[in-house]
Amino acid sequence: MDNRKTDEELLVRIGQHDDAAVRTMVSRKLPRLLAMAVRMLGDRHEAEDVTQEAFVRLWRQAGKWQSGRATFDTWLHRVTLNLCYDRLRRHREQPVAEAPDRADPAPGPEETLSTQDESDRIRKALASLPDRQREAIVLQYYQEFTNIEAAEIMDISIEALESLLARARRNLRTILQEADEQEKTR
Amino acid sequence: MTLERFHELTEIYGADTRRWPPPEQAAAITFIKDYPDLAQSALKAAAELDSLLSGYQIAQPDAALRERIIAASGKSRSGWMRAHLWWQGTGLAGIGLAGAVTGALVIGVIHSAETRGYEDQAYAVTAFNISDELDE
Repeated sequence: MDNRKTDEELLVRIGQHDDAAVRTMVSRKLPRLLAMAVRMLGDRHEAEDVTQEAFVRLWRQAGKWQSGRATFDTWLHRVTLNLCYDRLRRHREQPVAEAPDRADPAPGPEETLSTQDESDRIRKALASLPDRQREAIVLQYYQEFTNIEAAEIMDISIEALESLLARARRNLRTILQEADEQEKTR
Repeated sequence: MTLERFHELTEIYGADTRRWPPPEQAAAITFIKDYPDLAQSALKAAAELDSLLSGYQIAQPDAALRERIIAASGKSRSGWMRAHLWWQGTGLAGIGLAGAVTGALVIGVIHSAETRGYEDQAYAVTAFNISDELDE
């Protein structure tokens, strides 16, 4: 079934106070939005707050969606990213003594310690990127948007997106190599 | 596709051609078949980074977060319902208390309610307009 159509159908039903539609929307969107927010913010708790707020905005607006301008999924990602940027801005304006360094919750028993280390290594490398580069790679690589969709969400041209992606990948490689070298000299 | 463009695409989108722009995927696959050595050396570095990136997985949302979000939908809705009923109540009370003498007041209340409804509608259109959200 066409996802865009069903998202819009769900919105209409949510606007009519249909609890089942609310639950379906949460099941459909929450894991992806939360994953994006965690990767943008590098902090699970903040990402949960942001995702919750994004849904509050969705509930307030449900039933008023106007089809044709953008896909609902694009809009929802943009709202969530804006909330992430609010948080990032707040961190810069009110720096804390120690930057948050909370990883995703402990891995399941099937995951080894080295998997957790690897995950943490990438989390830190992503956090070191400039925000827009991180946003580009999160949308294109992790959220698996096409270049057209990612550029639309970021409100930039495809050329600008490609430039951000190329710089993000180059910087990630450098950051990870430097981290490796530091690890070896310890 | 030129080798230069192939390199560029690996630098931008990584080694998995399924993540490349759809119009360039077929040409990329042909390039890999025609020039496997050149293609593989370009893909290798990109594949290493892809592999590292794929290791950063995020745990699924827990049930408590899911339920908080679902509960918030009810709160948003009940807030809207309370406001809606309050306006309706205001209009009815105005009619009951004032009668014909305060007809003008009734008209004012109804007009006010109608105006508010119109403003809500306008807000909805604006609020659910992606360009406004982008400007935030």
